Amino acid sequence: MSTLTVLGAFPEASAQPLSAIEMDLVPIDLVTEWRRCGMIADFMADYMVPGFEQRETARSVLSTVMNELVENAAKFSADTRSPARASIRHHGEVVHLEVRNEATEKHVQSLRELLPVLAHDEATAVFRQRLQDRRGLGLALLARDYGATVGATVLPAGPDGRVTVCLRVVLSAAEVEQR
Amino acid sequence: MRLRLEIAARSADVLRCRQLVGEVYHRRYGVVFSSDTYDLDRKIEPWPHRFLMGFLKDELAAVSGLYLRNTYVERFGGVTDDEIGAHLREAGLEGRYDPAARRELTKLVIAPRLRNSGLGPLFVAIAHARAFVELDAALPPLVTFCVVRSMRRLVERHGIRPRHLKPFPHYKVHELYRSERNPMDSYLVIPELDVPAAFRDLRIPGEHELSPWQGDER
Repeated sequence: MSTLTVLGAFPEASAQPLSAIEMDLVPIDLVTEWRRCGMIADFMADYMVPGFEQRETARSVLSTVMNELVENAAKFSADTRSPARASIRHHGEVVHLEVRNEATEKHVQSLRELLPVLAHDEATAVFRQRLQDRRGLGLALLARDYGATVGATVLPAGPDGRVTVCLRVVLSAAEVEQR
Repeated sequence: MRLRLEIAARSADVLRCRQLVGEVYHRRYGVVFSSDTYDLDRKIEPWPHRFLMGFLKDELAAVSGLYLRNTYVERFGGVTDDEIGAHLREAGLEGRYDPAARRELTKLVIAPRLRNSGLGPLFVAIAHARAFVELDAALPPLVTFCVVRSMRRLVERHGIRPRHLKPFPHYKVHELYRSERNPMDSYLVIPELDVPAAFRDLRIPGEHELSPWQGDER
């Protein structure tokens, strides 16, 4: 029987969001036209901003975070033809942005290294270290710049050997509006 | 093996070509594509303008792209019209070709299940057919491409004689393709001298009986 593993901080949300958008993506579409990552991020952010008073700021923050997640799903999908699911959920005090996809084992290993450290250490220090090591900066940057909580769940390989990762970024609503 | 050759014309054909190229390049080299931008350090590549498709029965088995302008060797390889002109002079063909009228073979992929079947280098040779590289050209263009040396050797087995232009500069986008032991270079092909008639006159669209060599691809 498969067991869900939590990496880093993965706070559960209240049952029903106040507002939400959810989209299915096929990663090969992103691989063949990279600007679609930005188009999806902008569209999802635009859809959500009427739920915020500081709309321009919210649009910029939500789009930036979503773009990072969508690019991750495209870069690290184990099977680029297998759909991924992206969502933004506004729960009032917090906003959850996440992407769920079938990921490569290499990507899962890098999340295993990064997310627990991000959950416990100072994001700025983690960012600085990764910059020095010339390793991926995106998630550490979100944690540093937006005070985001970044975590993931990993559903281990099924009979087909694939791993499903749900990568979640949690922002305070105040941070989304930079109040 | 009978290989059916077609030039992608319908939107669905172009989409299938892009998806096969995207899938293979992403899996093997971590590369993504864009119609309106490129950034070799971020591994974002520009799409070719045309595609040649090779089918085994109904399976899209091989794809080769073609840049009609803004070739890779001039944009990223630093190859100039003067350098091309010098090669034409050396070949005794000054005035016969416009050094700036170049097209470039690029983004060759073979369906993953056929990798190392020898179809890759063979398809590079096939893609030199005038029915593909010269289509809609006012005058016969020169052909360029950039590949690693192991690939050049495999292509040469089919009688193509690429002329070495210069080493290709290092970009992050090629970090998983080239190596110290297998460097990447820019090449020029003068079709009338360097391409055997069997490939130059290949009928496209058409179906052909072909015996591929064993080897690597791209």
